[in-house]
Amino acid sequence: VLRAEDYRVVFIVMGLIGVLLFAFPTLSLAVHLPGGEKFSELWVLGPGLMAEDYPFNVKADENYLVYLGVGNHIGSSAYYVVYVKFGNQTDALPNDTDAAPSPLLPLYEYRLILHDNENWTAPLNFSFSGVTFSGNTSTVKALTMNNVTFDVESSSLWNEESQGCFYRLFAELWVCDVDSNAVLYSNRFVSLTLNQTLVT
Amino acid sequence: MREAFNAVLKVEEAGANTSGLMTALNDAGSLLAKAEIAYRNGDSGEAAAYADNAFTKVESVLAGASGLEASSRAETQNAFLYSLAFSVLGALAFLVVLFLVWSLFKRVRTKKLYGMRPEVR
Repeated sequence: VLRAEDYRVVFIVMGLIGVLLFAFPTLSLAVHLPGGEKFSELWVLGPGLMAEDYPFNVKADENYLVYLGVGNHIGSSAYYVVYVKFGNQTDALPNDTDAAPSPLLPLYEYRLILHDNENWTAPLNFSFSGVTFSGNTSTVKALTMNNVTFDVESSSLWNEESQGCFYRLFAELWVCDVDSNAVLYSNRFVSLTLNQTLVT
Repeated sequence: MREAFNAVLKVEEAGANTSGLMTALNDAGSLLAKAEIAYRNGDSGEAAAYADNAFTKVESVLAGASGLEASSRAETQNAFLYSLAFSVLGALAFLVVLFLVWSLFKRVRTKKLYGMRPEVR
């Protein structure tokens, strides 16, 4: 059997619970709990929108297709720029440690604004033209991406160890930083290694 | 473009639906990307045309964003005030009712206790 004092405690607890329930709608508007980890994603998929069948052995005047994708998980809308760059096997890739982008100039680019938790995927069609082989060197004169042709004039030496003349097609993810109002490299990149051949 | 994005972000923070602005801003972004690509490729005429179109889109986004932000802030503030009024008045009403129930309960219980007779075995 409860005593009078116990009944008093029960009523006080009921009062507190009731006040909290009534305060909940206002608290949910005023108090914003911190979300989970904030990050951006960048990915490259093969022609079947799967992580397979990436182009590797490539030759002149042949069309290749990959898909680039970006995912926004930073807790608010974000403005992204994806720069597509091309270089040979000795050209510098972005530096993960220093969070520095590649010094190569971008060729193609995408600009997109994504809501939080929104993903974006776009095709990247590419082909090479003016490919020549001379001695142990291959040279690519032009690279066409999504029907825009760029003069690249890039050469690659025959790699004895890996048996190929390798180039890299890579994409860097840049994001607009609201505080500095500048588009900054987000230390995310994806890279395709391509072996320039006479036949595939 | 960055200015327009920041404006849209403020509208979003104010609680408004920014889907329309985002679509327009994405269109502007695509045009700006085409302008940059054309410029890099040495086609300044095409670059200028794309940049002009992008600028027009960005201007429309900025105009839309400024109006939407003000109205959205007012709506959000009103919603907060309504919610605050509901919480304060609701909690007060609940406490008053609970206090009345407690008083009634106490009276009934006291009466019941006084009405009890000791049982002698």
